[in-house]
Amino acid sequence: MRLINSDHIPRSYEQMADKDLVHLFRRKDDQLAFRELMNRHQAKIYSYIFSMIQNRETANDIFQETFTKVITKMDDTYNEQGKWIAWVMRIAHNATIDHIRKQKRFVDVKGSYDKESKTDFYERLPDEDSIGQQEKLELDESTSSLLKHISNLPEEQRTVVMLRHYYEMPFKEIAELTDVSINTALGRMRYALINLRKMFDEEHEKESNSV
Amino acid sequence: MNDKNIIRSAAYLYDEMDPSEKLEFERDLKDDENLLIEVETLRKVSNKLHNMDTIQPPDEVVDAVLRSLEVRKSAAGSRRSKRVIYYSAAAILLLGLTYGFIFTGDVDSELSNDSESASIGSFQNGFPASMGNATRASEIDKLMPWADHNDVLHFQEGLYGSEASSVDSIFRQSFQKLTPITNPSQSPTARQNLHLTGSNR
Repeated sequence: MRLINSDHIPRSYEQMADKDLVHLFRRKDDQLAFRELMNRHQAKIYSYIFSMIQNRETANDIFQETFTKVITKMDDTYNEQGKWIAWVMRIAHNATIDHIRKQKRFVDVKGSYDKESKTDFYERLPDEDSIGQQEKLELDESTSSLLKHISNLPEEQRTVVMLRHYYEMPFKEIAELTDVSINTALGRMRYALINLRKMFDEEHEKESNSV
Repeated sequence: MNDKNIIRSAAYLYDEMDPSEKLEFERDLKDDENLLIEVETLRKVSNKLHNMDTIQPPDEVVDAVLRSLEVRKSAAGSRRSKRVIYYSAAAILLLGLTYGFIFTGDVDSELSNDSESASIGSFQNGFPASMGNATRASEIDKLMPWADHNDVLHFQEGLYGSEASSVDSIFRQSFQKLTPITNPSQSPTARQNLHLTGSNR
């Protein structure tokens, strides 16, 4: 899918390199250049966020937050060194991780007993299975089985897989972005591949059983 | 599988090895069948990942981003115009300060010169500058020019108006006290008494 107004983007922009488009946007405030950059990378960035968050609405919010930051920071902090997309991915990754960390901190068990409903905190918790089913249904509708399996990987392994296979990011950059050593990043990738292989095998087994 | 091979298999698969490490690993692959199976299995999964689908963001989200791009443009425009106003104001202020500094600097230097000369005058004449004008005028009337050890004539400086005219008259009177030498050879003894032993200052 292209952007709604992508018909207005001249063909010459499609042939330009990312860095030239970035330069046009920064120096000449050329919005068409930015639109072309978005056209090129929005799907991969959104896929990355979605695979990490596994929720459409939150993914939408983080995607928008990411690009709002990109637009603001391109005027100030971006120095045009290195790949633009790697810089954007860093922003998307940080926003995603921030959200995940907030979610982990969110659970508050104070005042766990509710006198009116006569239930404790754990009884009032929403049914995780129902949420999981809902999310999975959403994933089934919109993603391939491969992405579905990736979304089932532990967060650290998922990050490495997405950064490497969507963006062909070198392991050195992945290590820097995720704040681990190269060896740790490589180890995570290996475990991710082994886990995915198990998932493929299970899926294959299910399919053969149902037949 | 030992820890070393865990990292090596992934590094080999994703081409993250030095040429020498790669050669060594390929030699190990020939000798270790389990390692070879592991690498080939990982390679198959990795190849599947190359065909990974992408998910497009919803149109309304993309539209929202593009709207923020428009907002940024107008904000940047107003920021730019604000910046122009700030820079202009700063330039005018700087110019004003520079002129002010030069102007007041001159006045200050004049004032300081005046006060300096006044204070020198007051020290030379032995009365403080803070004295009243009437007292100073009466004192000036009593002023007499004087000569130091080197016969240098001293008189009041830096006075204006009536003070200056009174000093001028004293200065003129001082010349009347000098008598021209008609015959220099009349006082040979005085010349003989002159000893060049150094300055008295």
